[in-house]
Amino acid sequence: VQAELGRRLRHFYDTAKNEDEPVPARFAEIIDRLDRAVVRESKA
Amino acid sequence: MTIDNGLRDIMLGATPNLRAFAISLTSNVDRADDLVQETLMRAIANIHRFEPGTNMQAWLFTILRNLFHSEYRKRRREVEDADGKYAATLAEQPRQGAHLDFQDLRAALARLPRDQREALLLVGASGFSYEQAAAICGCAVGTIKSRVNRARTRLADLMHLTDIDGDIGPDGVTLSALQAVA
Repeated sequence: VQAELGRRLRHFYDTAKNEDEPVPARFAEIIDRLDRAVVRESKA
Repeated sequence: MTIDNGLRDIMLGATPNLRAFAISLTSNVDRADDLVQETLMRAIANIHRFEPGTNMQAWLFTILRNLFHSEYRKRRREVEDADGKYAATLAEQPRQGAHLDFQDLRAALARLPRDQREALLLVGASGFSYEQAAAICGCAVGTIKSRVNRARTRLADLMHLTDIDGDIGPDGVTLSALQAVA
């Protein structure tokens, strides 16, 4: 039962992971701000 | 802190898992995406608190989980099948293979208590160890193990997984076709 449950859970999760596009553009844009944040931090 | 190009790639690589976790927690893609967006913004604003060499994905999951819980406390509402509509869909054994399996699992997850759901998702789907999941949830390892066990038992019960043999055999449509041929 546990193995079957694990299989279904991973399948569900993988489907959720690939819903629409894996990483929507708006997330990539936010992550691109990371470099600026690190630069700001290093100057502080 | 020096600019670490790897940090960006790690964050980007962790985002699909983060999103899947958020979708699984909230049962709502829009709400999940808002949660992920807020998580990433918080992470970047607090990047100086991240300890290089530690697990970035676990750090992001911790932020997301805390945001989810504080949002829940504010809104005082949860997708846990308050009106029992999901329960009705679980009354019968799955008959149409993977699609129904998926719907049943989604509905069953929504019926789990929040702490059990997140423990099961972290360990059973996200691939975190019990120790990592305990750190993310801010509780003891034994507590996580207990929550995962209870979640598994409850899910198996909700999804009628006590008799796996029944799921492995042919579905109703196939059986009907076989009987018609015989």
